[in-house]
Amino acid sequence: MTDVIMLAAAGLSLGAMYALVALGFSVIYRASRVFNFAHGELLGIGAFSMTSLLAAGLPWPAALAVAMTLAGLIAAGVERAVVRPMIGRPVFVTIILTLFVALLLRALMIVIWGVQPRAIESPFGEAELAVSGDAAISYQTLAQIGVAVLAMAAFFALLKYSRLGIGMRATSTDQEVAQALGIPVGRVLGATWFLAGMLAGLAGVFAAMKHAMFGHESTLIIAFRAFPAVIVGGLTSPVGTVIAGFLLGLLEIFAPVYLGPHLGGFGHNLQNVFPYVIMILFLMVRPYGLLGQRDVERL
Amino acid sequence: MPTRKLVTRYEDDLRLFPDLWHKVGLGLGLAIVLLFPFWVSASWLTVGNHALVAIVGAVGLMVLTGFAGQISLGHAAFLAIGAFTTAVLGERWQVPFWLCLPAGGAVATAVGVAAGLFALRLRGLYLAIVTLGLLYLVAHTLESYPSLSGTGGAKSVGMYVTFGQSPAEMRDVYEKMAYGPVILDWDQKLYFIFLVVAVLVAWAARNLTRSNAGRTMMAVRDQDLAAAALGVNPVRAKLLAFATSSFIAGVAGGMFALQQRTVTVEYFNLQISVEYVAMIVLGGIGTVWGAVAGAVAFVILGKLMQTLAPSLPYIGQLPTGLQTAVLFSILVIVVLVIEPLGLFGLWLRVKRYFLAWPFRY
Amino acid sequence: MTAFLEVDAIGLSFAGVRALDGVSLAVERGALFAVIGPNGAGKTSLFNCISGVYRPQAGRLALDGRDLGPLRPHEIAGLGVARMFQNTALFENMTVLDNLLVGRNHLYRSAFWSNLLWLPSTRREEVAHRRRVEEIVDFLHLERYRATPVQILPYGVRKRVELGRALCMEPRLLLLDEPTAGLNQEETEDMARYLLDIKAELGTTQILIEHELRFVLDLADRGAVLDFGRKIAEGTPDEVRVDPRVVEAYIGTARADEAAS
Ligand SMILES: Nc1ncnc2c1ncn2[C@@H]1O[C@H](COP(=O)(O)OP(=O)(O)OP(=O)(O)O)[C@@H](O)[C@H]1O
Ligand SMILES: [Mg+2]
Repeated sequence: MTDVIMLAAAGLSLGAMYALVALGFSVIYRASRVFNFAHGELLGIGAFSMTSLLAAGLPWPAALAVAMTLAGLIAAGVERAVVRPMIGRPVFVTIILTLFVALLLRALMIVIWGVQPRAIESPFGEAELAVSGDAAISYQTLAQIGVAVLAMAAFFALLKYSRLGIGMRATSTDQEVAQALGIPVGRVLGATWFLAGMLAGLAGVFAAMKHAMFGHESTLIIAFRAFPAVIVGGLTSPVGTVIAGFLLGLLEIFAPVYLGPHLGGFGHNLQNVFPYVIMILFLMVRPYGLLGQRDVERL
Repeated sequence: MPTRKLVTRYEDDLRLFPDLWHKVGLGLGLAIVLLFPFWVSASWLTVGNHALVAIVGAVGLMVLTGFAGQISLGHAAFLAIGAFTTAVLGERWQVPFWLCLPAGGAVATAVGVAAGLFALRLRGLYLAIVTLGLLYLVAHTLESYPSLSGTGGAKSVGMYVTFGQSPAEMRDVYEKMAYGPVILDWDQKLYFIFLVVAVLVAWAARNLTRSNAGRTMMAVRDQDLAAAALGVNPVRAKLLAFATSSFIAGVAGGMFALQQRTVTVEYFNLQISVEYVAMIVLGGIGTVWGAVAGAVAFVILGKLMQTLAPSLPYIGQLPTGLQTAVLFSILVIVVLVIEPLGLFGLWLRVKRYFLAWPFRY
Repeated sequence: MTAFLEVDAIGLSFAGVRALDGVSLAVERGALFAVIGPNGAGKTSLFNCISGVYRPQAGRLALDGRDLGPLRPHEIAGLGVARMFQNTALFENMTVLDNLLVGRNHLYRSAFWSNLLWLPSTRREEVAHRRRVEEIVDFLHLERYRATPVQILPYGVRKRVELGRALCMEPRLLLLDEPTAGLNQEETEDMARYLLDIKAELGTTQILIEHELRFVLDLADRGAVLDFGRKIAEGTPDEVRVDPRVVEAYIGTARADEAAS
């Protein structure tokens, strides 16, 4: 029981991170029809700028806000400079484009922050909340889950009730119609990427707190493990990707413990491939993910 | 400048080198390619060998992505399967290399067809991500079994020439040897072997484009529903594309292993897959020439950038592995923004210019 | 006696929309049969059911006595059902010749291996099919465009390429989904002549979808009218023209027709 509670807490906080990444991914996909492989680098921007800002003496909440904004601005810049000119190009063009943008961003981070991994101290220190028996969950984990859920709730509220949100939904349904209705499509796209970048920045900060050492490979690893969540959830469904993000986080924590030992050599480091195994199995049943829409083609 | 020869027979229209200009080009190309290993320094000969491996790999991806329109980020997985098959066959049973290459292709084909069966219902980005998953799965599987991937993640590769050679006898292959009047060192031998493979593979892929099998793949790429309603079996076309592509990739992986003499699982990562996608996009999607040109340009530019990068500001500060990658990213992004058809598009422009000469449009 | 194509009470619905509701048709061999109806009447859906792209939820389809139910689209095409699409569905990045050659795909016999190695059998086959394709190129006056990628062709030529691709299949049944939509007067007349030539020279059974009553009823031997997924009339052109239900469904068009003739 103790194990289960602690594993569940770890799974939820990991899932919260995946959900943040996957949500950003999916709104970007809905807006620009681009699978943003540079998303992982936005995590890095958030995390590394956070370390610099904290070192410069900024208080925690302010540093977090600035780091998230920075990640958002970079995302919006990528959209404007590279993605927008590519509208209407074949899928593989946008794929390699964002992959190469990812490489450039990684190089940029190395130029600015060097190659040494860094860590972000938790503002809660090592404090833990005793749950039952031996089980204890750190305040940091709880705070992460809480903040992530809040951020996502805020995002969905924005999407649902604000003018910008209406613009975003209209744009993602049909850009031309949205344009004809007088929605400033360009600005809406920029804002979408900005918000998605902010969510990624937040996820990056969490990641840097979770892994004592946060290096340039970490961003890649986290983002690439979040991809399956996007697919399982259904590319076009933000809600689906959030659900899938949490599910995969939980599964990734539980599977190596309960499943790994039965798989022999294959079970070693199972977490590296597990999300992809789940994804592949899932797509066999539902090729468009949990809540994704089938693209209908007509003749 | 003469334009095309008058075609009077349909057979002539199907020839690869229909008129005098093509034949002159072919002759010149052959001369350059055959003399290349005797002219250049050892390091450029290595570049040539890399280019030949890249050509085979890129043609393989072109069949899948360029002809059949199936986007794959898992190309490196098939390369890895070919490489490790070659390594394991050599180590365990001293299988000669000319058997290892097709065997690697065959194992890759088996995995490719399985992946293809699964991919039948998926398209576009879903397929890209699933093939990425395939890459992780293959890498993970290889790493999980040291008997396949070697202890410590590296495996040395032997190159046996005939059956029944002992590992000690095998080492002769790496020595300089006289073949009649020509004396070839190992890199030169490898070059000629690779050249034969590359020409065969490119020729076979070109044959696809001028026959029914290739046309059905392209029909599925451009309009899969309409193609089916016109009698094309999309399942067959896609599976054939997966099979052909993964076979070729397996061969390319085997070639890579023979050349490197040690292979690691780590090498076959997403970056490699992306490089191959970049090659075919750079060369121009949909033609065999595009794959060849893209691969050659990629390898040569890579070499040039390697020498150039350390002296550049900022870029010089990066780890060496990243330097060329960054320069290359910038190049690819610029090419994609200004010339969507890649090198093939540039070539068309040049050709149009000369065909219209002395007029300009 | 059974007809060449039998459509027996087929029904097809999409979430909430009944695209086809108990439609039955019988098309005789060699006929030029017209299907008419306003937008959204279910005409294209009917074609999609015949060529196996959609599976009707009710009813039965048979071609020349053979049940089409269990067959997949390419198998139905292999029986000789060819199609022209409403919104041209050409292979955009391929040349006109290659587009036409794809139409002959189901007649190819040589193995994949043979293609890959360009064996003599493949070479002979390519030349033989090319010969037939050239006849169709002549028939449709496409000579100038042989090596042009279809994506840069003008709309009228694209329609002709589509017709050519369908003819290359050596069809027994030709499904034509609004072949003249978007064409100008002259191109429309050309298309009408091609269709009549096909009927006269090849004797191919044709089903023609059109919006405009007059055009089809001048060409067709028989016709059926669909409205909201139901067949509301069937008969010879003269019968259809005066059918009160058709006049009702087509009020605007019908009046215009009357005025014009
Ligand atoms: N794939 C689909 N998914 C959902 N609804 C569909 C689909 N295909 C057709 N429909 C619906 O079925 C109905 C009939 O469509 P269909 O295309 O057959 O009409 P049509 O007679 O060809 O009209 P038009 O003259 O505009 O071409 C329409 O209401 C259409 O929206
Ligand atoms: Mg229609």
